[in-house]
Amino acid sequence: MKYTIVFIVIYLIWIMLTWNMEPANFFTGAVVSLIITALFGREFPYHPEHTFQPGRYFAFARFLGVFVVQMAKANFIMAYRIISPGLPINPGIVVIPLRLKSPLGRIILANSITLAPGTFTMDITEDTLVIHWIYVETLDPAKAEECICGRLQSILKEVFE
Amino acid sequence: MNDLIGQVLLSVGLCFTFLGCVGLVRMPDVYCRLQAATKCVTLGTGSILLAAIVMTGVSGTGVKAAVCMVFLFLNSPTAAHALARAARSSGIKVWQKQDGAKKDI
Repeated sequence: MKYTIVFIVIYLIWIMLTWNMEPANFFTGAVVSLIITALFGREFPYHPEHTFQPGRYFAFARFLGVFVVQMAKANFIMAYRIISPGLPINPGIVVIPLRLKSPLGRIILANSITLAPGTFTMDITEDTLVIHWIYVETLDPAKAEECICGRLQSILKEVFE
Repeated sequence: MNDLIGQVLLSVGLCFTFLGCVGLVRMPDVYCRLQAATKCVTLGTGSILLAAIVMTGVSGTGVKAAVCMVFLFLNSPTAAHALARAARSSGIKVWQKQDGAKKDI
């Protein structure tokens, strides 16, 4: 089942990237996807059974909503910081706790923190995230987590665990 | 109509990309520069790709632009994270405001 999921995902990406409706293209795509699946399919979906639980997709959609709003906000705040003459920045490093265990969830959390307003993942360890904050408001880990992640961590916990 | 929306999106994208470049020059250290580069450039490139989608519709170009957008949002933070991690492990300190030092002198 693992292999089937990987194959379908790769085949869909192939079709979208080439977007060519000739039979030869579909055939080539199938062959290429089969080779890639045979090489890497062993590793990728860590929990194949999660693919068929619709609750996770709803949670992920909620995550995407929060994330898109945060990302747009981040761009405008950053644009303001760049064009304002006084350069209103006060950079520093904070460490916040990381409670997610699943590797994919951790990657997505780190990436969305990088795209969230004013924060930036520098390093990731077993149970902490090292974050560069362009305008430090607090150094306390719990408060910093509240400011930086908000609800993201708990939503991702629903999606991936 | 689609052309108009596309051109507006294209201008927004160019503005943000330009601001990202300005930030790259103005910011004081490597971490702040990376912040400017990742944040502004994601929305900048994102809206240029969105303009491509709006202007060409469901065609080869449009679908490719949509896929590129997903890859952009996955890759841009990852690359920035790799750069920041390398900078940190080679021992670059975070820049601090120099107000206090000026008063002392």
